[in-house]
This record gives sequence, structure tokens and C-alpha cells, in this order.
Amino acid sequence: MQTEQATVRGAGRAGPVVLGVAGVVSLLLLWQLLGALDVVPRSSLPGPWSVLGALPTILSDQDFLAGALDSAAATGLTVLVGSLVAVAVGLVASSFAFLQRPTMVVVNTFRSVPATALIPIGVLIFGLGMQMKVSIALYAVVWPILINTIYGVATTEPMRRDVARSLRWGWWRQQALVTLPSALPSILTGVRVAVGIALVVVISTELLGARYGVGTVLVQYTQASRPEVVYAGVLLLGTAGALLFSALVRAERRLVRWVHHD
Amino acid sequence: MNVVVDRVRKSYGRGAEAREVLTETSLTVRSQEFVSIVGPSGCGKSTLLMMMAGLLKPSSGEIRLGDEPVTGPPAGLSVVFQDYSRSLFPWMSVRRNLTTALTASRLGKEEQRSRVEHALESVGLAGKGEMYPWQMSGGMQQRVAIARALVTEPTVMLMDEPFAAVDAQTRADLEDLVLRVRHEYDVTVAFVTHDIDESVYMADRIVVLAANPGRIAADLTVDLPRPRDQVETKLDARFAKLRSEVFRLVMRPDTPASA
Ligand SMILES: Nc1ncnc2c1ncn2[C@@H]1O[C@H](COP(=O)(O)OP(=O)(O)O)[C@@H](O)[C@H]1O
Ligand SMILES: [Mg+2]
Repeated sequence: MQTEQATVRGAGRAGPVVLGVAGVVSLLLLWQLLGALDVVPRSSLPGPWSVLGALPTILSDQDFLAGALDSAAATGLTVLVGSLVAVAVGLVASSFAFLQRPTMVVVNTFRSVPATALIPIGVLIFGLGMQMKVSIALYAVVWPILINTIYGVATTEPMRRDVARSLRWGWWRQQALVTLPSALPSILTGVRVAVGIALVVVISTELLGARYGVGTVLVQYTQASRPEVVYAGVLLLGTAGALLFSALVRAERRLVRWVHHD
Repeated sequence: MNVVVDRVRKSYGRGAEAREVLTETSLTVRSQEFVSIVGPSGCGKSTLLMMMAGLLKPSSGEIRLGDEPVTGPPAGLSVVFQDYSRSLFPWMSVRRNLTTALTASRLGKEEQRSRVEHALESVGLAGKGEMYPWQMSGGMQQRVAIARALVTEPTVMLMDEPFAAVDAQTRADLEDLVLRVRHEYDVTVAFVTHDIDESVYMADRIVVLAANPGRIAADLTVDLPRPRDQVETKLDARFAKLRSEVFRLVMRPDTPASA
């Protein structure tokens, strides 16, 4: 009886893994089938084995690795600067009633302009380097972080504000010890969304002309008619993105432990 | 230090929307005194207390702490809010909740530490400083809130229905805890409650508020001996008499006393 239950429970825990493996296997089969049946030409969709076989090529390509570093640096810098600016603006805009309406008008106007549409202008102003990538990506990430900051500040428990006033804390201390922590869960969600957006925009600038980056390298392989290497690169980026996301979610949980107990 | 409520009135809203929540009210809580403020829900107890705390501006009249008019939260006055789960800072450990309460007092590191340890000890939480509020039971969290109020060594402590959210057993423990620390810290207390037994058990004096509009219906002296005891005090005939008098005042504030 005991062992039977243990087995059942073990199977329950293994369930997602089994499902995941089954999913990946069927996807690979479908992929192989599409090529074998000539539904999609080999030149646009190489088979899974040739893509996996191209992984060593892309992983040993110095340009790809340097490009990945460049893209990561651009994304990281964007998220860092974007978070600092958006959180600071959000805190200030939220604490003065007369700034609240104008801020929302500005946010709603500008965030509806797609950042990728600004790439040509970015190129004209900043050229094809890091500065252009970061500027365009910054434009894309400040809005979601700003909105989440303003929203998070608005969820601050009024009683905690009263406690802070009653303890005779000044504006700075109230922001640092009450408002910011209250808004933190929402801010972190905004930052996580921003990481995704920054990655998309940075790689877009690279596909559309930036001089360095993973996107640039993928374009070069496309032009050299090496689709299996392009797919291998995309596969790597996808995996890296998924790992980054789950790391961010875990970091978020650690940073706002109290949320899940309130 | 005396807390003086001098012809204070409060209405919420403006113009046609304005609603008077507290009619002109005067009241003095004397130095070292323990005053219960009791009344039905919505009669303006919190409003009155928040004005005494300098967190809410009276529509007219003046609050004074000693001789000083209260225009904002004054030094030497602490507040214990109704709901510990919404008043503690869950992102800070218990020790940090207390230490940050001292920032406006500008004390040295060593003095801060000893104040915090002493306050924790006084409320029975010695050694619990590293815990977070959300790791604690409701009763323990309210102890933290009381310790945070005491750590500044206030002359006046205002408490707004501090035990409304805890079970009866914990409530009795916390009542006795407050009566004990009140002497230890030599503090003047204004204690808001809607619990009639509690208002009598705790106080030297009971201010009964009536609703619609909020006003003082009675001001009663409690002649029960101290220290109070959850069993003995409540068996005292004077307790029963006060209790029924407050009950009558709260339920039917406009009938004459000798009913
Ligand atoms: N900020 C506010 N705006 C408008 N009305 C309020 C506000 N705060 C309290 N009131 C009203 O004032 C009355 C007294 O409230 P309160 O002082 O909280 O009563 P109590 O603490 O005795 O339950 C209630 O009718 C309440 O609805
Ligand atoms: Mg109240």
C-alpha cells in the first residue's frame, strides 16, 4: 500500500517532465516530417538533425559570441538605465497630485509609437553602434516600467503612509522605506516585461542594420545561405531567453518574499 | 503630558456634500491617565484619535499636547493602529520595524539597540527580532506594533481598536500587557475600542461617544482597584455597574441615566 502510494505520487511529480519530453519529441517528429514530405523547402527549414549539427559551428563562431555579448550588454544597460529613470520618474510623478494627469497623458501618447518604427531615426542620430541600440530600446522599456511603478505606488496601503507620517519620516525616507517597497512587486513585474521588450528591440536593431550583435551575425549567415546555422542561433537565443526568464521569476520571488504571505 | 481637545469639530467633504462626523467636542486626557474612548461603529472614534495624532486636521478647534498646538504628528506621541497586518512593514524584520521608528529621535547606535531590545523584551518578544511580521501570529504582530510605539519612549500613546482582530484569549493577554507596559513606560494612553467590557477593564476614565453626529455622551470615572485582574476585576460589583451603564449609553445614548 505504502509503496504503491509513493509510486503514484512519484509519477505525479514526474508528470510535467514526461509531458515536456513528449512535447519536444513530437515537435521534432513534426519538424522532420515537414521536411521529408517536402511541405517546406529544405532551404527555408532545414531538418532538426542538420540544425543540431550546426550548433558547434555557431558556438565556436567568435563573431557570434562577441555579438551575443554585445546584445546582452545593450539589453542589460537598457534595462538598468530604463529602470532607474522610470522608477525615479514614477515615484516623483506619483507623489505630487498635479503631476499625475500630465504624466499619464505623456505615457499614453508616447507608448503607442512602436519603438522599432524609430530605428531609422535612431540610425540617423546615433549611427549603427551601441548608442543607437540602447536609445531605441530605452524608449521601448521606460513606458511599461513607468506604468507599473505608478500603479504599484497607487497600491500602497494608506495606513502604512499614516504610520510613516506618524513616525515623522521625511519625503525621502517615506519613499525609500514605504512607497518603493510597496510598489516593488509591481515594479519587478514591469522590469521582467522590460527585459523581454529590450531583447526584442535590440535584436531588431541588429537585424535592421546595427554593426554588431547576434542579430547582425544571423543576418550574415542568412546571406551566406547557411539556414541550419541561422536556426541553430535562433534555438540558442530561445533557450537563453527561457532560462533568463525563469531566473528572473525566481529572483523576483526572493526579492518580495512578503507578498506571498500577506 | 496632557492631551487637550479644545472645541474640535470635524466634517468630511465640502459644500453640499459636507457631513459633520464630530460635533464640537472638548476633552482632556490628563498626564499618566488611561482613557478609554468607546462608542458604536462609525461614531467618529478613529476620526477623533487621528486628529489627536496630528494625522488629520480638525475642521475647527485645536488639539494641544501640553501647551503646544498639534499641527502635525508631534514628537513624544505614538500611535498603535487598528490593523497590525496593514500597519507593520512586512519588508522589514521585526528589529528593523522598531529601529526605523527611532530615526526621527536621532539617537546613537548603542542607545537605539538597547531601546529596541528593551521594547521587545517588554512585550515578550525577546530574541524574536530577526523574524518577519508575516512569520508571526496575529497576537505576536500586534505585540510588535505595541513595541514599535513604545520604542520611542513616548509620553502619549494612542491606540485605535488595537485588539479588534485577535481571538479572545490573545486579547486578554494583550490587554494585561498594555496595562503593564503603560506603567513601565509611564505613558498617557487614549484607547479606542468598541468593546464595552474592554473599555471598563482597561481605563481610569471612560469617554462614551454617541453617533450621528459624533459627540461625547458621557465621561465616567472608573473606581476599580489596580492592578486589574481578568477574573477578579470582572467579578467586582462596580465593574458590573459601570459595564451596564456604558452599555446603556452606547445603545441608547439619549435616555436619562436613572432608568
Ligand atoms: N475619509 C473619510 N471621508 C469621508 N467620510 C469618512 C472618512 N473617514 C471616516 N468617514 C466617516 O466618518 C464617520 C466616522 O468614522 P470613524 O471615525 O472611522 O468611526 P469609528 O472609528 O468610530 O468607527 C463614519 O460614518 C465614516 O463613514
Ligand atoms: Mg475606527
